Amino acid sequence: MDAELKILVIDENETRAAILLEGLCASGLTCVEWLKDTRGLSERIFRLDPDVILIDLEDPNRDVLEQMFQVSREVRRPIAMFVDSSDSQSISQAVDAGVSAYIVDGLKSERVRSIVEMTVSRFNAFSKLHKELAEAKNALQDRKVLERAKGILMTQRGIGEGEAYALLRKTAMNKGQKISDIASSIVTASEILG
Amino acid sequence: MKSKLQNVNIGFVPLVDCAVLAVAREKGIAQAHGLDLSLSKEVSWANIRDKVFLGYLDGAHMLAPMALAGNLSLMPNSCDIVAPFVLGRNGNAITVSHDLYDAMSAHTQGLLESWDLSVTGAALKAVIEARKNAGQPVLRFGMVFPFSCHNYHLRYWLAACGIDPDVDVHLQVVPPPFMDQYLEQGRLDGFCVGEPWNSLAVAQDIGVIIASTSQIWPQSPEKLLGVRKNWCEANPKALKALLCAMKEAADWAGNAENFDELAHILSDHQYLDVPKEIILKALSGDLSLKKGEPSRHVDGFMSLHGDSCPHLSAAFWLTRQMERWGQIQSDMIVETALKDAFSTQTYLDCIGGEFSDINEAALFDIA
Repeated sequence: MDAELKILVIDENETRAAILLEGLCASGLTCVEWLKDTRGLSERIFRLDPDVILIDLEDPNRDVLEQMFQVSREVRRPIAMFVDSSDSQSISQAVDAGVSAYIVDGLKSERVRSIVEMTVSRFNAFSKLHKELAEAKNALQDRKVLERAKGILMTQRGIGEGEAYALLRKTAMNKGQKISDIASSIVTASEILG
Repeated sequence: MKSKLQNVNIGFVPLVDCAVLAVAREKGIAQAHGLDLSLSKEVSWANIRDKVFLGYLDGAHMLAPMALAGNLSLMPNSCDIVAPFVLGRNGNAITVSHDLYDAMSAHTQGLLESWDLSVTGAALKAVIEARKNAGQPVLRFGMVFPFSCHNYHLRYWLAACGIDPDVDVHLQVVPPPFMDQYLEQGRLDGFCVGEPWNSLAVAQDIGVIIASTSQIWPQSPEKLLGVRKNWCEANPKALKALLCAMKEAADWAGNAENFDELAHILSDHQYLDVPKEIILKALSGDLSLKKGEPSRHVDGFMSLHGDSCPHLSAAFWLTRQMERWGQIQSDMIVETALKDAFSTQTYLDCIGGEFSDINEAALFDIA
């Protein structure tokens, strides 16, 4: 890739930014800056004067970037969102991954395409990681709640652990709910009722 | 056998004036017109524009000047838009920090009681002069998008009061969800934004509402339903059904008897996700201007129904503001592009009725 291209990454999410920065640097781009905080965004962009800006499509600050298309005195070179209209598949991949890229006027699309592709793959890797982490957290939480619900049933009903679990499973089946949901209602109810 | 519903994807930004779209869906009006109306909540106006351009959305809740800017090719990623329906008129307000309000009040007592744009503007000008003499930095005001009534109304009012919006203050785009936070952190001294953000600032005692944009230009078209032109051409029946559903939904949403239920619908997390009481203020026009003070009824604060047909004269006014503030040269204003955007004819073809472009409300002028 073009080592001399100046890339600016705007992302409040540190983990995702780290994943992206690592990818950009590994592919030989040396001028990569990251803005975590969007305070004074336009002044800072003016100072950095990037060739490419990468930002989460769902970041409301994209409207702040819009102002820079208008106020030409704030940026030295006009920038516009990178949409490679010759390739609708890559557009939908970028939108699905939640990536938007802005490039300065006059930059050839082939110089940017690989950067956008890299960003898309890193955003997707982050989403996958994030999802797995959330699932792992939920599973751990569910297990904790289940243990507490079993404990409550064992004390209140004077039954054993196996019986308590069987009761939870039976109730869940009868109500068409998940065991973890039943367990969590028991824990909540017991917290309220004391 | 029941015929299959046609899917229509419409984007919106969570503001009180997305009400007509929400009502069309939640009250089954769109369905009764043969449509499966999918509403997609978007975080930015840039997303609205890009997703309509890329075909992810068929149309959207759009800032009125955005539809014009698109058709005049003033923005990237623009496609031709037909915007034949006004989803809301006015509904924005100007809110300032307590510090600025106190400074203005030190100059002029009873600003909220007089509720007069000339008086408020004079007080603001006095503060700006005093700051200039004391060598203090210029005041910073937030607005939501370069092509927005917020931008033009604010500039119009400031300029009318002798304040140069490009020199005497700093105007910057701030996404609405960040406005209150920036005001609280002292990153902004004031802003012009739609509801619920002004009322939320007052409820949290972060700011004071000093003006309603309905005082600047009564009945100003604020949001339009903008639909991609090639979608309209390919789906004439769905377009007609959509506009008829909008009209019916607007009549329901604008009826004061339904405000309570409407506020309840909008308070849901898939729409605004803010308390019903806050939303009711904008719907009824009974605004809380400052925490702890009695509310004030602002006539015509926001209209969701009544005249839903876009007027070409309004498009001209808006493009004159674009020209005034250097966004466009006068020779770039193409009447056919404006007629396409503020499409009176499409409205009349689909909904019917009579149209007259007279009775234009008078703009604010310095007293």
